[in-house]
Amino acid sequence: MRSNSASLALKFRLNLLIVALAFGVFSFPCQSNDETQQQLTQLLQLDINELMDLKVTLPSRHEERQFDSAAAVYVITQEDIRRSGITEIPELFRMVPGLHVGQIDNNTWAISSRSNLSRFSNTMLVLLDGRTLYNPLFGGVYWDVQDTLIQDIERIEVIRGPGGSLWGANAVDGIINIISKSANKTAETMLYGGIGDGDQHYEAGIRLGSQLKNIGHGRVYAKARESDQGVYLDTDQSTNDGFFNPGNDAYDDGNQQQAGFRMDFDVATNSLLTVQGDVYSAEYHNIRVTQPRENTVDAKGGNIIINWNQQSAISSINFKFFYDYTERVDLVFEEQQDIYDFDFQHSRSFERHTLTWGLGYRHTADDTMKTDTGIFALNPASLSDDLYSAFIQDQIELEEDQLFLTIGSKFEHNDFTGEEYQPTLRLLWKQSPQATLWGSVTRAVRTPTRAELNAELVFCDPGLPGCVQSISDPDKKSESVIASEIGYRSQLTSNALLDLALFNNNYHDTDEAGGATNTYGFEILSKYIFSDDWRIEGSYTYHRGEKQNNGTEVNNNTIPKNTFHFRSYWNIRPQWELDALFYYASAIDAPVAAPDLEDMTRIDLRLGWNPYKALRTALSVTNLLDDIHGEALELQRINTGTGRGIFLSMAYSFERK
Amino acid sequence: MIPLNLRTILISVLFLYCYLFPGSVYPDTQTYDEYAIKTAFLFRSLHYVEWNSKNANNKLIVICVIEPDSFSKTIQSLSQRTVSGRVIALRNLESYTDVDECDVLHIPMKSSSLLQQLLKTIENRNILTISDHLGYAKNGVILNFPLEGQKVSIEVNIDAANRQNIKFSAKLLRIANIVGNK
Repeated sequence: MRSNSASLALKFRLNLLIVALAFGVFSFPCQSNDETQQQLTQLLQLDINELMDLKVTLPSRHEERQFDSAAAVYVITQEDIRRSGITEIPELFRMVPGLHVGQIDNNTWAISSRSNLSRFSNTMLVLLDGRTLYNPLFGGVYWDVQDTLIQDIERIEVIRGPGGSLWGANAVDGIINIISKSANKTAETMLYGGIGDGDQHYEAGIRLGSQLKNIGHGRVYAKARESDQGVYLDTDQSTNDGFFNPGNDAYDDGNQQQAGFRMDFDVATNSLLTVQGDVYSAEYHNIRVTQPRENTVDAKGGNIIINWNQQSAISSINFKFFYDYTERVDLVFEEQQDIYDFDFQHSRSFERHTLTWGLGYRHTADDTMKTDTGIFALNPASLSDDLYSAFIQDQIELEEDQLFLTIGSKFEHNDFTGEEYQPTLRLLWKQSPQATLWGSVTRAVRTPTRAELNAELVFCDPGLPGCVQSISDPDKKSESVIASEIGYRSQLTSNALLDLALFNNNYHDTDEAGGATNTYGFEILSKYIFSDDWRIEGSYTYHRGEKQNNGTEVNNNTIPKNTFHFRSYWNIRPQWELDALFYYASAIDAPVAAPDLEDMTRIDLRLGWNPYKALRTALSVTNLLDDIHGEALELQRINTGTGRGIFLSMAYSFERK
Repeated sequence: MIPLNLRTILISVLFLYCYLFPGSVYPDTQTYDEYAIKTAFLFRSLHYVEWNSKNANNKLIVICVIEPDSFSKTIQSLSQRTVSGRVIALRNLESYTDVDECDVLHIPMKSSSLLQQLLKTIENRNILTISDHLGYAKNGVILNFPLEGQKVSIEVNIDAANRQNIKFSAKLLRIANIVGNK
């Protein structure tokens, strides 16, 4: 009886504690609903002359442009990034309708839109502040080394569908445009750090930003991070001959250090000069399907970008130069690349026309070496090539403020396939300020990579005498696509937005089988704002692909048929944020030799506490359900999976006095 | 090539920082929400406005909103505040034909032809039209608060104000950009 009452008392106290804790969390003094209100109260006291001198926190104006664009555009804002709790750029793309993200191991991703998903998904063009991240040797992007201070990203614009007419070759299925904040928005010192388990070990960074006396703004940053190991999967990846026990820690951790700077000079009114650059050094591990299995990648690189922009009400001129250096050494292959790129663009409006034209030149020089393993080589081992390009585009306002026709083409000359042309025709109808209908027909090409033209592969099976050699076709032609799209956007009410895009892509591949691929599907996105403190967003993607080789249908499934995504941002109290992300991808019935992938469900949660404007803390849980899965088909790497991850982070910013 | 490790990176950053930002600088980085500033501007400006032909609503300044946007949302918080003894009241209306009791009318983003049509509908009613979009004063809105660079400015279309029989005090006109119809 006594023990009973004691335990009852204990229970009561525990309950009391829980109630007290909950009360503690939810009972912060309710300030008027948000920051804007607080500011307003303060500003209403000011005299009109004082108001004249205030500076506006510049919101990105892209939402408006996005609504009126004749393409399937999605924008990830800094707020989306912060509230996702995600620290690695490729993971952010799960929130984009129509984009497929497949994590192969804990530092390798396959990202694609509307077409094949593989480590070297080579039909997406990815840019960071105008610098191409596309790797000309293998296609695709080395996602493991693409990083920047994630807090200094302004936004990421993702365009599904071809953009070759403006952006040039290899923008066949989409463009990812990562845009960092201009230095005047980062004129503070920021320190941040986070520790975790399961996905990321730690991440730490510093940014020093400041006004440059009378000439502009600048910032420098440095960051370091270390990713955790994933676990081996229970897949029937044919060559995983039981050597790796499912559930054991995988050899796929990594670390990276990076630093960079950005300076924005106000040269004259409406004229901006930007100079920026980064250097990085990284080491990553992964597991190859054949010997040598435990592989180490050492990567280094750096870049510098100079951009000059002049704007007036009717015209804009942009000149950009960048240099990019990449060095990557692993047990099988060594590569170095230098890219020099010049780009000029001029846009001018007169009467009903907005004419944009541009010229570009890119010089790429690579130097590669096979290693002692002798498995893989490029022949010739070193190569320099030049790419010349020009484009012209006219946007015609057929009906004032209502009907717009865009017509244009890019013309390129490259050293591998010669001339390429990529025309587009787009029509936009602004039915009302709240509804737009658009459609387009576009041709885009993907030029073959060095690996597709010049690779020499040697497979030696220990059980068989001799080796098998495979040499790629040096005369391979470009792959082209004719894409038709139609889309509709509607601001249903002031709180609800609907965005729908349908597409049909006809690829013409020139590979030996004379293959023709057709993909089609749709993406539907909807946003709803309940109040200033709660908004949600959901999207559903349906993608299908059919491939025929000489008239016979073949299984070419690499992407899930159904993808569903949902997220919620909720300010539970003025200083507290509770955010959730739900992601589902259906199973993939894979072609022969690749393991089938089961369907996957992922839930991420984030609790943010911002006790002061300067201090932001967050606790994130990724893959809450601990649903460990292979996400992308991969023949040369052992797929690993990432289980539940937890990450605690803190960012503190202050002005330097 | 260049040997890169964490230490070299940190030293380079430190060096770069000292080189770029010698001495101490005092950046003025305090920024405010765009619409909070615009709303404060509107609130101040109302102190310098005279409606010449309206006496009925003397106790109130009625601000009307028909199509809400970001600007009109913050304007809502002016409700119940007083300007020279008159209390601000907000009305959310259905149509531009019901604007008789409005002293101030919020004009949302429109195509230029629709804007002209709208302004015609409300002619000669002694209404102060307000907006916050570039070029709107030139197109006939009386009081406009467009964003210029990173600052909010005030534009007054004097011709339009005269046509609505609205007067501004000299203090406001001194700091405003005066525009006429195009």
